[in-house]
Amino acid sequence: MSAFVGKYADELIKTARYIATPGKGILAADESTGTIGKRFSSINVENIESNRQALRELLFTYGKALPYLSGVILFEETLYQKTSDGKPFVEVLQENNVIPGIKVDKGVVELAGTDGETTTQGFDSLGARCQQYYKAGARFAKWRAVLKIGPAEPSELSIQQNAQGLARYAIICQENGLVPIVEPEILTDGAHDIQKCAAVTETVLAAVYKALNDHHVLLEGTLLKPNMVTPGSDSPKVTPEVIAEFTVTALRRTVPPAVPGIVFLSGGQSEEDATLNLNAMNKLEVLKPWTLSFSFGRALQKSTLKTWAGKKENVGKAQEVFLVRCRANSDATLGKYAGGGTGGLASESLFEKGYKY
Amino acid sequence: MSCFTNKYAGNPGTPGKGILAADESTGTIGKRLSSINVENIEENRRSLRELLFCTPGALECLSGVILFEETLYQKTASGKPFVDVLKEGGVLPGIKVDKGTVELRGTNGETTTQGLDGLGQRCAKYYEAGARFAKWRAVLKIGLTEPSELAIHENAYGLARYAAICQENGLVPIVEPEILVDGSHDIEKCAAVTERVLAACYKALNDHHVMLEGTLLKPNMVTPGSDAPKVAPEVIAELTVRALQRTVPAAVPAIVFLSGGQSEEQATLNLNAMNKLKTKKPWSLSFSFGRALQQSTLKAWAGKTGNVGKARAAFLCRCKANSEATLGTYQGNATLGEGASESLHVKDYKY
Repeated sequence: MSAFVGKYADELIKTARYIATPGKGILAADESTGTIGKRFSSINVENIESNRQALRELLFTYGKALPYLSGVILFEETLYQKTSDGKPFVEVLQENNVIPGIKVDKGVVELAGTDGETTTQGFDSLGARCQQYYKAGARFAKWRAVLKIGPAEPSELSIQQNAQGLARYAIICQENGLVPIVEPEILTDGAHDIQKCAAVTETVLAAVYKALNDHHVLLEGTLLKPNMVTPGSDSPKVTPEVIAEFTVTALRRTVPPAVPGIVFLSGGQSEEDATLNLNAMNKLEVLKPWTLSFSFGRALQKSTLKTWAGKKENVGKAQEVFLVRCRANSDATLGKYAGGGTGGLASESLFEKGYKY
Repeated sequence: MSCFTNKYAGNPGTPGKGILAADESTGTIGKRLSSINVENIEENRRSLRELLFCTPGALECLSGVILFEETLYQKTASGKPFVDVLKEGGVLPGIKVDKGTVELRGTNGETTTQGLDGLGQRCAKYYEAGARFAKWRAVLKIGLTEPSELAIHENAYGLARYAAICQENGLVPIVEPEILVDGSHDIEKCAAVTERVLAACYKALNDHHVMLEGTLLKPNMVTPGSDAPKVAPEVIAELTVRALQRTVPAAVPAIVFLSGGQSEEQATLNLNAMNKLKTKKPWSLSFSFGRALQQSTLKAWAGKTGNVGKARAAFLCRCKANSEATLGTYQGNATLGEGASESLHVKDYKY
């Protein structure tokens, strides 16, 4: 048969559809130990387990913010952590109708003979690991493939490797009950214009969906996590409406209607820009057969982190700030965002050249 | 850039309308004419097309008519070019540009389609003559080891190359990857093959920088094989639309089904069921029928001038029925002309 329909098929379809609920989105809180260390050092917080636990408790236990989230992506350590009262994070999320997800890739490695292009690793025992994560309560997974734009990039090799890797990861997830989030991130680094980004995005997404078809992935039980189509980081900026038009056009040309939802990554965009762009897409009057939502890491947590600064007495204030971003992005999925959620920090670009995490 | 955008991007695919495939080559129309004992001479071929194109009320049900090259330059008996008749009726003339299939060595009777040589110049010439869209038929079959990866790749990339050349020259390409109904496979098998073939087509179209917004898709419906038990139109509708949801990007404005060997009534009922289905359909679903629009018309005509009125009534009946089917409002009560329920399946059909 074309698509693999195993024992989890109905559940996968239901989960993917729920995650794609308009008005909700995903909090990407799956920073690896190394990456969260970088965040912590920017606010002078020590990278020890109790601090990592404290940050995630701050984010996951604020009842007012949870209605705006359909899922949270976790790092493996976090999947097994508890609140200070001893309640597993997974239970806290489940009780609030937030689906726990799990990052399953093991980072990128360079492709020899290319100019710094990479492929993603993590296949060894992936099936068995997915089964463990399912038992622990996870119902979706995430795997980040990375491509870049340059004079000769992305190369055909890089596109093929990353597309095939995503497809293989996706089918293994589905065999083991996890909805795969398919993430082919094209970095913003560079001086290229938005048309170039659009062309590359379309080429990459076409390759990804061909690979998913080759590997018999059930599209109705997947989500897509792409970059928005924007000018390069060293290029003049454009308005959210332009970003919306190019992004939605690229998706309409490549993403089959069977995919229930598209949850954008924020890349290096500021919190406010990411929200404004998502909002513009949802306001666009053109037929969109999938919902358009968010799967933000930095763009949901940046000002929250700064407000917290690792201090217990700041938790309440930090949670309020977090709520503002959650609500703003929820509005954006409905095209109702009016703009202006806590200026200052929210407008700070989060772009980091050659970002690795 | 990823896709080639040009000044010709048009707007096909209007609800309530579809395409008449009247592009039978001289050889193929010969077979049709001989089945009603009519001689295969140019005047008869011209008369048949005049019968069809000048049926009062029929053109309102059509957004386009696909023509064979000879017909593009023919006129009515009173001297009016067919192309003008169509244009005045709000119908776009289209042109078949492929040159038939040839076998792929080393396969079990699989084929590829020829016609790329000088295609650009031919398209430009057809544009000048009034054509605004083109059609190219790729053919695949289902068997134990078919369709092979070779057949899929050759046909997908042939379609993509043809499509890119059309767009360079102002013609909207209809992309037709027909998977023949021959065989005893079940509907799930047809669905799987259809999804695989369509995925390959859209990858190829992307590789060739084809602007999807300026194309149409002409696929087979997803059905059981000709030697397998029949299923209800609702089942055909569900599996067909599901296959399309999994492979056809929303940028494609319209999908215009071929009828394969289905009877006129079956084709209409299936199309109707698809349009009634409550599910995501970002493209309009319509028809591009040859046999399924003309079968009873041909029989009623039988080559006699005195039968033209009767034949036109039969033709208008099918046009209206299919127009309703694109809206999901067909009640199934079209006055069935002789032969409307007759299967038009011809094993291993070549045309």
